Amino acid sequence: MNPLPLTNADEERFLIQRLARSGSQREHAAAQLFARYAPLFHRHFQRHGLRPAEAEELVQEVFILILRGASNYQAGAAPPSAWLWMIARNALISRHRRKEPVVDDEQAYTLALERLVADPEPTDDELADCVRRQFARFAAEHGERAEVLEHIAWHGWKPQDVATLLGRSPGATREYLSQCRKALRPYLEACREWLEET
Amino acid sequence: MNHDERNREEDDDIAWLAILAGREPPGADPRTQREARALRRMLLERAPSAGSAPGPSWEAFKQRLDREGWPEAERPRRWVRMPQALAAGIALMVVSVTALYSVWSFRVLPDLSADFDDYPLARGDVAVPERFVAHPRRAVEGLKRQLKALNLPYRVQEVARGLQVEFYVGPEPAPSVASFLDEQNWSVGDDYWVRVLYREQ
Repeated sequence: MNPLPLTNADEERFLIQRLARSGSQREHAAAQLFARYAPLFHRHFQRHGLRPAEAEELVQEVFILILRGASNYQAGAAPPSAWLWMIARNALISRHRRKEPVVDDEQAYTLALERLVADPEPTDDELADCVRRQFARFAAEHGERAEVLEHIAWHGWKPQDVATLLGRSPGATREYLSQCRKALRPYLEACREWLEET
Repeated sequence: MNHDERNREEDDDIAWLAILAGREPPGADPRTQREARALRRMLLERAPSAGSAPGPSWEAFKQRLDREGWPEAERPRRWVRMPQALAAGIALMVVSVTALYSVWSFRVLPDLSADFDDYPLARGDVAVPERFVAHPRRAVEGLKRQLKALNLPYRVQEVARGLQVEFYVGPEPAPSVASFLDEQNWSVGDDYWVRVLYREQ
């Protein structure tokens, strides 16, 4: 199992506060956050159709936005991961508005997931295989919804944190998440046999 | 779909999301638990780690910043750096104008808590439970104090039959809020609002 990205919220809050200062503290904090998030953003942008060099350029733009906006981050409002991902998401949306993506958004996601499905890790776990396969199919049809569910699992986000990412009201986000689950349900029906057994 | 079914479905969604995020909500349906856990396990296996692939170079970024200059941190938005005294003055002025307008127009405005920012959905089929008391206004003042202590946004509105109090408890009420609701024997609506009508005995 791959290690989970460490998202120590308190440490990241501290680092973001340091970004709003000047001098070596700011540089050190920027380097720490860059080491943690730049590879994740880079991978995310490539998954959305950007070439590696374009993705790296966008990562740099995102970090410039983070450096500029750090003084407006409200520590109590959202976990750092949700705030940082919100900036990355908005930057990607702006970039796609400015310039057509090399590969269509959904197509890139589908390609990435097809690679995952085509080369599964060997496993004897039929339930895990089924869930992996069906989630890939779901993600091919519902890219953004799949990403939101990934964020919830990876970062332990609550619905209000997803609201920060999406820029929606809490009520609209609850409805969105309910619709995510409804959309996923038919795909997981194929795994029902193993889900009942477990 | 009736209210009970909708409530059950919403509760189930909340539990499913909580398990997906790695929490253990009490009383979740076993099938929901199995599904959310299997999905979480699969997603965690696929979680990217920062060191799993060569990423963008910090050195290259730092060189760019050194060349172009590090971006100035934005000045905090005005409301963030507004001195507290000035903020309090403005708040006082708003409250005074609102109160004067209320008296002048002979209308009772809704009494909102400071953090009330989301109006409940008006649903015709919501039956508001009634509480008969000797002094509705006094009882509502007491309730408002309790809601403030629990940090719950509320709205008090004078309606034809008495004083209606509405407050939002959210999908995952804190234990203190849950025990408060139990004590009062109040149920939460499917939109996570509690509504009570205080009437004179």
